[in-house]
Formats: sequence, structure tokens, C-alpha cells
Amino acid sequence: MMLRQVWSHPSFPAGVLAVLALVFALSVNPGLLSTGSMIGWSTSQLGLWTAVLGQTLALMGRGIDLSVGAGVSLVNVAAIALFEAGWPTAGVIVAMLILGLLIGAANGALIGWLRLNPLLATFATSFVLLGLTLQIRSAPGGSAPMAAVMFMNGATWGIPNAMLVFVLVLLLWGLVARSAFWLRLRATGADPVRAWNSGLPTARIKVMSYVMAGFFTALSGLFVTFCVGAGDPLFAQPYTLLTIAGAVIGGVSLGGGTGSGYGAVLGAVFVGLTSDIALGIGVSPFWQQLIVGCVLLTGLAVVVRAGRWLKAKSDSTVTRSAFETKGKAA
Amino acid sequence: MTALARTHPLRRIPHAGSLGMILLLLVAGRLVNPSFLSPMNLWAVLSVSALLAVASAGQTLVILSGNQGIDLSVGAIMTLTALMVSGMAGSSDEAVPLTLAVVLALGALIGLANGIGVRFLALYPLVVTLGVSFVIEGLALVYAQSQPPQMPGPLIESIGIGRFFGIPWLVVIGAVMTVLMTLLLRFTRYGRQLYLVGSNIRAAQMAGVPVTRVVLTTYAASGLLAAVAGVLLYGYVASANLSIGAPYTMMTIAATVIGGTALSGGSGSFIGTVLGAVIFSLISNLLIMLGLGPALRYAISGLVLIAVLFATSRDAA
Repeated sequence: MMLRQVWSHPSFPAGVLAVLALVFALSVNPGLLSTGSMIGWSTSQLGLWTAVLGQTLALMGRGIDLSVGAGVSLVNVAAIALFEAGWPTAGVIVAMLILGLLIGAANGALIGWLRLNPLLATFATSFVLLGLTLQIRSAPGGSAPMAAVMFMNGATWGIPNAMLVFVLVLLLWGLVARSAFWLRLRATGADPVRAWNSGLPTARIKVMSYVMAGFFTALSGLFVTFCVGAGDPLFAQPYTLLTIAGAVIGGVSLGGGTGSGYGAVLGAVFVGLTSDIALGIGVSPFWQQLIVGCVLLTGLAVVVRAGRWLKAKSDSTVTRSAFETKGKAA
Repeated sequence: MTALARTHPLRRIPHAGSLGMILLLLVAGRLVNPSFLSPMNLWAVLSVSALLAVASAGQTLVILSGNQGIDLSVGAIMTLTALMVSGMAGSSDEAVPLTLAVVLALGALIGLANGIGVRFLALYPLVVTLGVSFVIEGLALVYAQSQPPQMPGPLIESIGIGRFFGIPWLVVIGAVMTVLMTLLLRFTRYGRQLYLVGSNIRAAQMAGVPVTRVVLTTYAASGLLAAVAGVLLYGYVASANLSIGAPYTMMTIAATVIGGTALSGGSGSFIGTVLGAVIFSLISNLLIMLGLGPALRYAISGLVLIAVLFATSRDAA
């Protein structure tokens, strides 16, 4: 019974993939677990790991967020612009979190209240955000305060600070995943009509899911700013694709209602490890995107097919748990 | 169309909204700058519209095919094609036929890969085409690294900026494409099957429509048409770089949706898409005349897309 629960979990294929990728990465590059190396890859991945949680929130309510990459980039260049204007670090962090909430609120209002198609609405906002980003800074440059950058690229007792920060993010996510709101969001994503019929304010729930996604986007943008230490309008643009791929590999359904944030993070870890492996075995950076893209597509196909097969195998279990979820939601 | 206007109320004119919008933009352009209506500027706008319309032809087919169909790899295919034509044909005309055969076949193959992902792996078109576009961009990066882009030869260049009896070649090609696409959608077996699949895939299957063939053909055609658009874009811009096609992904979707093709599939026409392309190009042209830089133009086209979505395609629930 316990075993079946483990392997029929939507995040199971992602866990397997992440472990396989980690083993492979270690065999290619045994130094990966040294503190210096861990600082290297955790700082380069922290932004993605955080952004995938925002994507998960959007996907869970049967939405999608194609503006993640542009949003993270906007927060990144805006933060650097404020630092250059002489703002204190705390002030910038607060301002950027508010900016993220505003971006999320804009997406949420378009999708929840104006009932636009989530795919196209966030696609359109991504261009507005990209335009603003390029308006603020059209080429990489600027610098974040040295102290914050040093902290993010440092380590405490051999553990990279970026990883410790991510533990805090996961604790925050734990609060989200344990909240009544999360249950309502899953109910809305699984079946919006039934959720509405059973008295849930589905429009407001969708708006809230995007507002919260915007918060994680802002966190991701701040992490990118402090890890990289500069403003780059294009650095985070691939996050849109990578977060969707990570979340889907991690077992979050594009149809809404199933999956978990932890699974999505595992998926994102797999996605991130792929590029590290590609670099580790000495692939030229020019080939990296091609190879990572192929691995991603294969991973997606395998995970989705495997997920469906496992789901079919344990259909009775899934049906029962779905009933339980609905009972709680109502 | 004029006969219809006399006998029917205004709203029965096909594409009345789009045509009204175009008229409004022309008037606004004239107010901003008197030279907006000069033949030179109008031909320029029409050339850009024709280019966008050709690029949007495949997108229209894919969106018509419904079932969340969307092709986010259009821009990447255009970039790769432009770079490959530049690298393979060089500045002479001798290698052009072979090059065209190669890039068009490659475009169709990439489209077919999209179709296989959508139909056989049953992945969401959004995810498949986004993933494929990531791979294609990687391919373009590798290719550009080995073959630095060059200036186009006389043939490609004359297609891009030359004229045929005073009409830009691009406009001629766009007009031919409009006729062909309309014939394809209205009068061929494939066209009718496409609308059926887009309206209700299960009913189409029950009625004996070869759904798999229609879906694969549609995505392959989209890749092929994106490759054609990539060649035209290369001729028009007269140089190739790694981000040359990227904006077209968004622009083709915008043109198709502005043109009245339903995102849910099964309803729409290519003439609508052409008008959508003209509207989008007029707006960009107007923004350039107002002296806005590329960054603000991005932002404003995003806002325009939101406004159009609001007016045309709100979800029912």
C-alpha cells in the first residue's frame, strides 16, 4: 500500500529522473559536491527553483504563466536600477516584492476577472514586461551591493547560503501547500464548474493564485539579482520554458488540479542538472541549448507517458484520493 | 463586398471590424504625419503585412485545428531558415534552388516533429512547440557559430525588396498566398477536414476523418510556411541574426487572433488573418512614426494584444 502510494505519486518520475541525473552528474564530475562547486550550481539555479513554484501556482488553477521569464528579468533590472539610484537594500527588496505582486495582480485580473485565455493573456503581458525591461536596461550591466552578493555566493558550515535561502523558500511553500487556499485552488483547477457550484469564488481564487505566483517571481528576480550581481534583460528569459518543463516533468498537470510544488522543484533540479552535465562533459556552450532542449523534450515525453501509465495502473487508488480531496474542498 | 454592403446592414459585411479598424488607423496615421498615406509608406506597410501574413498562414492552420493547437516554434524556424539560407546560398544565386529545397524540407520536418509530439505523444501543443523552439534556437546557435551570416544574393534580395511592375514582390507573394490559402481552406478535402477536426475532434474521428493525417499535415504545413516566411524575412532585412525571427511567434498569433480565428479552433479564415496582419503592421508603423523605440513598441504591442483579446476571445466560463 505504502509502496504503491510512492510510485503512483505524480512527482515520482521526476524524483527518479532527478536522482538519475544527479548520479550521472556526479560520475561525470565527482567534484560537484565540493562546497565551491555547490555554490556555483546552486547560485545559478536558485532563481529557477523559486520561479518554478510560481509557475506551479498558475498551473494548479488550470492557468499558465508565460510571463515568468519576462517578470523575473523586469524585477532583476528594476532592482539594479533602484540600487543605482541609491536605494538601501531593504527598500529595494520591499519595492521588488510589491512589483512582483503587481505583475501577478495584472495577470490575475486579466485571467480571473476579464476571463482572458491564460495562455494568451500572459503571453501578451510578457511582451509588456519585456518592453519595460528593455526600456530600463537594454544591455547587461550595473551592480548590486557587494555585501548581499557576497552573502549569496558564500557558504555557512560548508553549505552554500543559496541553498539555505532555498530551504526558507521551501518552508514558505510549505505554508502555502498546507493552507486552505491551496485546497481551494486545486479544486478550482481540477474542475472549475464543480468548484464554483460548490460555492468557491473561483475567479477570486484564480486572481489570488497569480498574485502569489507574482510574489515567487519577485523572489526569483531578487535571487537572480543577488546571485549574479548585475542586471541582464535577457538572462531570465528562458525561465518561461524551463519552469513549464520543470513543473510538467515534476508531475504538475497542465490540466490543473494535480501535482505538488516539491515535485516541480525536483523537475526544475533535473532541468538545471542537464545543463550542468552538458558543461561537465565538456560540451561547447554553443551546443548546450540544443542538447538541453533535446533532453528536456525526451524527459517531457517520458515523464508524461510514464505518468499516464502509472496512473492507469493505480487508477483505483487515484480515484479514491480524488474523492477524498473533493470531500475536503467542499 | 460592396454589393453586400448595400443589401445588408453594416454588421453583415465580412470582417467589418477589421476593415473599420484599418480605416481608423489610416486616418490616425494621416493626422500624425501627412506622409503616412504616401505610396511609398503604404507599399512598405503592405510589404511588412504580406511578410507577416505568410508567417501567420501556418499559425492560422494550427489554431484552426483546435484542441489547444498553437505553434510557438514559428519564430525559431524563421530564424534558423534565415541563417541557413544566408550560410548556404551565400551572395550568389547558384546555390539558391538547392538551399530553398533544403530549408523548406527542414521546416516541414520540424513541423512534423511538432505534429508527432502533439498527436502520438499526446503532449500539449503549447509545451511541444515551446520545447521544439528551444531546440531549434539551439540548432540556430550552433549553425551560426559554424557559418557566419552573409549578405543575400541578388535573387533573394530582389524577392525581399524588389518590385514587379511597381508592386513589391512581397505583396505579390502575399496576394498569391492569400488566394491559395483561401482555396485550400474552402474548396479542398483537407480544408473541410481541418475545420471538422478543429470543431470537434471526436465527432470528426467518428465521421471517418483521418484525424492523425490532418493533424500531422497541419503542423508540417506550419513548419513549411514558417520556413518560407524565414526566406522572405531574410530577403527583406538583407541580413540574418540569432533573434531575427523571435518576435514573429507573438506577431503571428496576434495577427491570427485579431483576424477573428477562434482560439478554440474550427472557425476563422485566412483573409481574416491577412487583415489582422495589416492591422498589426499599421499599428507598428504608426508607433515608429511617433518616434517610439523598440522597447516601448514591444510593450505597446503587448497592450494592443490584450485589448484585442479582451474584445474578441473571452472565455465563456
